[in-house]
Amino acid sequence: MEIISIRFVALTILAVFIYYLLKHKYRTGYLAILSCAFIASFNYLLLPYILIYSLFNYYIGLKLPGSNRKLLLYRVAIVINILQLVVLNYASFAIDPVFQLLSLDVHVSKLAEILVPIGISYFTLQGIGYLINIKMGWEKPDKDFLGFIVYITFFPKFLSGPIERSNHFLPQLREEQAFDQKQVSDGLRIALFGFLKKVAIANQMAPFITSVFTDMNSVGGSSLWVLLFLLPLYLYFDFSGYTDIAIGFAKMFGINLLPNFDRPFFAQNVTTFWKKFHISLASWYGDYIFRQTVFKRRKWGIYASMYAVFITWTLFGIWHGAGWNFMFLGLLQALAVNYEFFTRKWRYRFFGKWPVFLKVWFGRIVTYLFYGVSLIFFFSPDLASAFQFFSGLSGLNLSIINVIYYEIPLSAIVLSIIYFFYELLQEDYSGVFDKLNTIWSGESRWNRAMRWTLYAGILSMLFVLSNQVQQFIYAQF
Amino acid sequence: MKQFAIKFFGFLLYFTVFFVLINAIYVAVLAKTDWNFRNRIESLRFEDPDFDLLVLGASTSFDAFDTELLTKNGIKSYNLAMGGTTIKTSYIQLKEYLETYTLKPEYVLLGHNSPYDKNVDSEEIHPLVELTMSDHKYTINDVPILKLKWLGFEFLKKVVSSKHREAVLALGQMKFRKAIPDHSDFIESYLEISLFEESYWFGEIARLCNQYKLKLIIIEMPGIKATQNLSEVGPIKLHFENGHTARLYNLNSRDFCTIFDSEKDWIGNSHLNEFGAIKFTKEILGIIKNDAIPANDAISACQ
Repeated sequence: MEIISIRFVALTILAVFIYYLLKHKYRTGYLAILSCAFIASFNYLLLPYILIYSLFNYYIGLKLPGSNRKLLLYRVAIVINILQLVVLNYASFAIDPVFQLLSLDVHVSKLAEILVPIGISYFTLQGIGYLINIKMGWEKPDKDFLGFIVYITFFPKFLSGPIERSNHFLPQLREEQAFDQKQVSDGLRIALFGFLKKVAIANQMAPFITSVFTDMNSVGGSSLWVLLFLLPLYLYFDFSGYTDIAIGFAKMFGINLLPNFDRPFFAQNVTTFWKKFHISLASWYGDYIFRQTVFKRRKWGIYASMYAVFITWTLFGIWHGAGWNFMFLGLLQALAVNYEFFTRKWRYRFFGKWPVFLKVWFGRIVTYLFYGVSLIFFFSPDLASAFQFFSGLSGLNLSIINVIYYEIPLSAIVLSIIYFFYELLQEDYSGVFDKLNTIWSGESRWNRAMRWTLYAGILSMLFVLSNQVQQFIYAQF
Repeated sequence: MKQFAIKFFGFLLYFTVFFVLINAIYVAVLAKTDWNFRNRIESLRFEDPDFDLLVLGASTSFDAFDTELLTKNGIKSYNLAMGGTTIKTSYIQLKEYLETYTLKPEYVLLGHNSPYDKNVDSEEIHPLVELTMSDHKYTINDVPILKLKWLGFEFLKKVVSSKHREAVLALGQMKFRKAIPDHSDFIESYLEISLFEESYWFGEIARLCNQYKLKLIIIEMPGIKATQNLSEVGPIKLHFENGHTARLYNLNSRDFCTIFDSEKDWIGNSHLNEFGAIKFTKEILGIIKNDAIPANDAISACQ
């Protein structure tokens, strides 16, 4: 079922009303049914697979604490988790070529064509995270299988996260929640703004971006430059739009999902950027890969961190897909983070002499551009295409004005500016933001009329713009 | 929860009223300000028109054919072209005109820009034409802010750009004084004749012209350097699959496009401004008057 559809929104709102009419003991089962139905609407064959996957991790979780061979059981379970991810997501890259080398006509990737394993990269990390938590003793095994199914499959977050932590998600299911009008209204509002980001901004930019990547040879250097600057915005509005929809809808069910974005383009360096962009994934890698690696290699001293950064970011890159370009994407981030780590004293001395405003904005712009360059590897089908892109940049000329004027919808540009102004207020002028927010959220009739008019305006805009169906970028992982 | 439900449905009611109001205001504003809208309404309200020449096509034709200049030179003309039009829409417009008005034109100029529109057999109908067609059945998709949404973007351009506001509509032609230099580079390309000859809707327009004994001239419209081709100017005789023929002038040939000043004659993306349109229309006058199409052969070109 398409998330950007009136049917999905209407069914979700209806489901929320029914949810609060049910007794607490039935609610988890109800969410499990809704989530299973959501998955089956994409591919009914995927549903039994995910149920078996959930049962496996649930069972291992129960067995781990009391097992005599705890480490072995844990390792086998982790290997099986990774193996199913590799088979279903990376077979064309990592398995099929091996069979071809052996002159065997075996195509493991066909399995993925049958199962269509949407959301696999997300639920696998959740499964692994749960097992690590149990093994480390950070969490007790969950005895409620239905609750565990909801943890793995909860429909608002199933396609593209945020990647939940079991010790954050599961306790919320256990807690009895009364209907909270504010919580439901806030959820609706957050989801509405998510739809706005996705439909009115990202989807409007999508045709230009797709056309450049599909016809890179014939578009001029100007288009490539515009694309380079536009890609971070495009991905941000697409992905944070989805996340807002997921967080908003989950909130309506009384469940608070982990945040995924925190005004990332106001980060002044790459290290901070990754604490603000795709937070749930970056923090997952930080907690389960980086820290564990540093701990294991602690005898190496400072080089343990350097090593762990490379391991973490390479795996982070690979998580995004089967291809050298994704690995390169991860390596680029590792280089940047290590560079920032080893030059921090020098940079502190150098930039310390600069005026604060200049220093802050220089950092923000460089970070933004670095991410733009990285995204070329993210969006290119392979490494060769990515390098071809960079060689095409030399063809810059004055037609860049034409490209911006004619290829990028004015509405997307205007809305992006308004949105970043809103984030700027939050980031740099929090006092002004708080005052405006107090006026905005006032309870008088005029305040409400102002809010309702804005929401009605957004809904009208969505009605106008939502006829262009564009898949969420992060739903492919 | 009851309180929330009341509030929620209250908002839905508010949204409905808001939506209806927004649509009404939108149509009222467009009727006053939009050139395509005004052009369409004007063309539906002619009183016994006696035009010698009709222009059909999309935005490049809308800007490029100076119908005032043609009229001053003795060819009473009207530009029916509209931004974003498909060939099917041009067919509908022509058929509508011929069936509605008694006096028929002598010439039909159909402009087309191949580099921008290769989908010549698109079944889409221009929303303005579709909305105002006599036999149209209305659905939820005909809500003005949805159906005519791109006109809203045009309106925004006028709000932010005085050059857009200063543009005028004359005998159906859009006249822009603004100039956006063409800084694009030449790319080697050739005109695809098969694009025209294999097209169902080009063939249908040729059939319609033949039925009413009109002289049809198809023009490959001039574009910026990056879109210009190396093929000959013509005229080229087109043979459609329905057995009818027409003449095609390739005015996007590099040879022909030397008449334009890349700094002064364009308004961006292959659209000519007022100055470029005058140069272009003088050449069209030459084609119609002196040419190229001898009077006897002109009709046979449609047969």
